[in-house]
Amino acid sequence: MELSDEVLCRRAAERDEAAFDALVARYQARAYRLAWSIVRNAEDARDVSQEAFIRLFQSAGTFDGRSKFSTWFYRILVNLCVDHRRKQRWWKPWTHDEHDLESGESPLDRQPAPSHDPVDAIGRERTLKRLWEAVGRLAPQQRAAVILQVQEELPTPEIAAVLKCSEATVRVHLHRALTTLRKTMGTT
Amino acid sequence: MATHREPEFEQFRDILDDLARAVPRPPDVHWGRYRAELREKLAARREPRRAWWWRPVPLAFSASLAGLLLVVGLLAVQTARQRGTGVDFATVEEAAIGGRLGLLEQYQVVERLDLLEELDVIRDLDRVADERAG
Repeated sequence: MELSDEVLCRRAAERDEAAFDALVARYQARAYRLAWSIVRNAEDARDVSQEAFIRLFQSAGTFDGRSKFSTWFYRILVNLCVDHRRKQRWWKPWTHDEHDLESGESPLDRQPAPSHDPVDAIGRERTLKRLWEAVGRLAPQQRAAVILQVQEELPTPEIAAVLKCSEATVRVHLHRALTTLRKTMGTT
Repeated sequence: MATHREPEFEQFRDILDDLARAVPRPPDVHWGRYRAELREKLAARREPRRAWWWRPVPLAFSASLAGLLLVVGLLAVQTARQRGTGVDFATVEEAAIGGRLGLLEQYQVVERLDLLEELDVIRDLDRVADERAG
């Protein structure tokens, strides 16, 4: 029988390395993907997500079980990502996706080929690419709110728990983000 | 009001749908290496961290420096005592007076220097005495 995240976390708090390894295996892909969505650099995303696991191991004892484990862990991770972005933003241009620079291939180029008219599809892909680039230029909290909703499909109360703010604040972040995106895209 | 908000709501929903349709995928990761790195980082954090001054080389260096400063300080104090640089003003004054000792031996002459000013009067005094006698 598979143990729940919460049970594994309690065991990790007792320095059970097998439990910690199980949590890492369960969350590594999600943690890395979420970190990459916010920091937009593969190496930084790896470092930040690993740091989140280290913090998890160090502070597993403080997890009180009032929220879901995933919410608690995402909070650690998103805080690290937002802090990382704040530290980087003054000197690192971040409108460019590292992956674009590395491979010359946009994330949208790796999406499955559309089944409709290729000309329309190219225009559409460009639009979507511009849209995600615009997400990259949002303020860290707005960007995190959008990513948690769109990518992780978290409901507003859970986003609020991750960002440690009220649901109303999450809605404000989302509204501002979407208003900015709409302006950028010229009401797509 | 509701009709005014409706297009905005639709637009926002479209944007979110578009974003969800094309969520970018991060570059692939070698998960075995990822976990190995994580274990290394965790092991490094578990080692008790010593303050910089508690590490062997800085500790030896700091101790040597402190010892050296102590020795230099003690030597300086001792030398100062020996040389009497703990300045005694009475001694200085005595030395100055000693330098003028010759002058003091002739102090009686010095005391009578004022008589030189009245040397003419004194000479004349002899003449006055003679005239009074004559």
